[in-house]
Amino acid sequence: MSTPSVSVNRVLKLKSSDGEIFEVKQTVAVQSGVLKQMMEDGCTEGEIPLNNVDSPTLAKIIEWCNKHHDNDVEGRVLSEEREKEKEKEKAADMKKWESEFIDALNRDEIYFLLTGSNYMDIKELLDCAAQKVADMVKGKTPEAIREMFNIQSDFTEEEEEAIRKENQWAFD
Amino acid sequence: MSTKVIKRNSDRLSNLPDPIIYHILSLMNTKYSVQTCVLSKKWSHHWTHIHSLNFDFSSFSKRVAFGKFVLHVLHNRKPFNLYRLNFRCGYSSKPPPYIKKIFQYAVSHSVEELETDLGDFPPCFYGCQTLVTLNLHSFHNNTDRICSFGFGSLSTLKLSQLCLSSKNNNHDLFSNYLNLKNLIVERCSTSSASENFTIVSSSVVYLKISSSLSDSNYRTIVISAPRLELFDLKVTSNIEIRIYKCPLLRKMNLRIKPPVLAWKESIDWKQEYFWELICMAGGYYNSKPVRLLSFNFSKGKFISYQISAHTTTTVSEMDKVEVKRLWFFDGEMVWQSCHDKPE
Repeated sequence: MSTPSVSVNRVLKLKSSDGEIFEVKQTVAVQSGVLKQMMEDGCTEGEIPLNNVDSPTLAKIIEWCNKHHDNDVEGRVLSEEREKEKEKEKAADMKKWESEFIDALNRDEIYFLLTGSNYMDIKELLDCAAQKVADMVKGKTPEAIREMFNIQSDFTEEEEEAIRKENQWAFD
Repeated sequence: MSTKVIKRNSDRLSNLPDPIIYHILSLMNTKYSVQTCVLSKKWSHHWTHIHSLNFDFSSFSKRVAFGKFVLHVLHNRKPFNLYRLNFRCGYSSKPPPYIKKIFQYAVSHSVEELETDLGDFPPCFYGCQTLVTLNLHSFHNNTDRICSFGFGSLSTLKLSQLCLSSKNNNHDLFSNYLNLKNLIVERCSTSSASENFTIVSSSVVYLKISSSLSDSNYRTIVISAPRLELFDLKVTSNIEIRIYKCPLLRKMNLRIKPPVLAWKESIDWKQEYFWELICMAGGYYNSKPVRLLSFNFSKGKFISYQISAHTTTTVSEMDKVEVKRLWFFDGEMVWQSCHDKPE
């Protein structure tokens, strides 16, 4: 299963922090800046340990990469004109898929996805997850944000008052 | 199981690597980014690292407070390059006094993207050599000035709901943007008495024009763009298009809505539609090199067309009501329904 000789079909073995092995096509894995670099350096033999990414998160990341990869391949085999047409339709479909993908995650999952995509250097996924958190934070009161993300304030009342005063125009 | 509990009770957001936090804070209205300063000590200065600024007067109760906030942010943000500035001040005839400071800041921090509803920029901004994307909307003056300066590095220009004016009969609107690749003009009108909307550009590759009946006062769009490859047009009424000197143009998408509902009820609205299209297309064969055009109807029926200059072209309608054909005969375009094909 893991002995194909053609490089297009070659797979990388990714090992999550909890020891699970995931096989990913090289052509999919290039979306990760880190894995791309490793492939270029020719050091992808055996299992590649991803110590900062647990298996549920890695599964999500691979799902994302596979989806975005399929898109590319399908586009490439189409004729030039058709390709452009398809690109537009795909872009709209992809936006929808992305928002459904990200909306289905809970806060912990988003956190792990952020750190995972940052660690593996997958910019599009990082941007998508970051926008989701930005949308969750914006317009909420500090109390609501603290509660939502379980942030403990270490300010004394006076200190908080001081910092609030320092940035008073933001609290207009 | 116990690890799960620990996970749930920990402060996920604060434990993210700082660059990710800065990125998240850059993606929202800057007012909300600054507000995170009171979350905890760790957060008190996170906002000063944001890479983009999003100022919106509508999130403030008074204009004075908005101005003070803007200056506060400019003064306290760490001096990294600025990626994007989004500045919405609401339309007013008199620009706020701190405008100059904002744009000086943007220039000195190598801003790449600007979105604003301002009518004009302070003179210092016209020297900006880093601007790649400019998005202007909802103002009523001085496109003449903005367009006459141009920005040498600009590759994408998007204009929405503007009145485009130029002293020189619209001819020079975009020719000063020497590196412009993408030009998007949405719901804009022209201020001159001329019924022509003229686009001259030596660099534009992608052009999109959309308008509704209420905002377009031009009847003819004249395009001369030697590098143009893709052209999207979305209009409601009968607008003539004249294309000159566009040898690389290989695709046009036309989307035309019937201007009134009654059209649909007329006995042969499809035929009307076709005539309208044909009138619009009247200018195409002035541009002989156009190889492929496609039309898409937007109301209910989706019809695709391919028209090649000087070749027979099939027009097919997806719902198979009837197939019509468009023909080119030496610069004259004729349409016929399938029932009486010309031999």
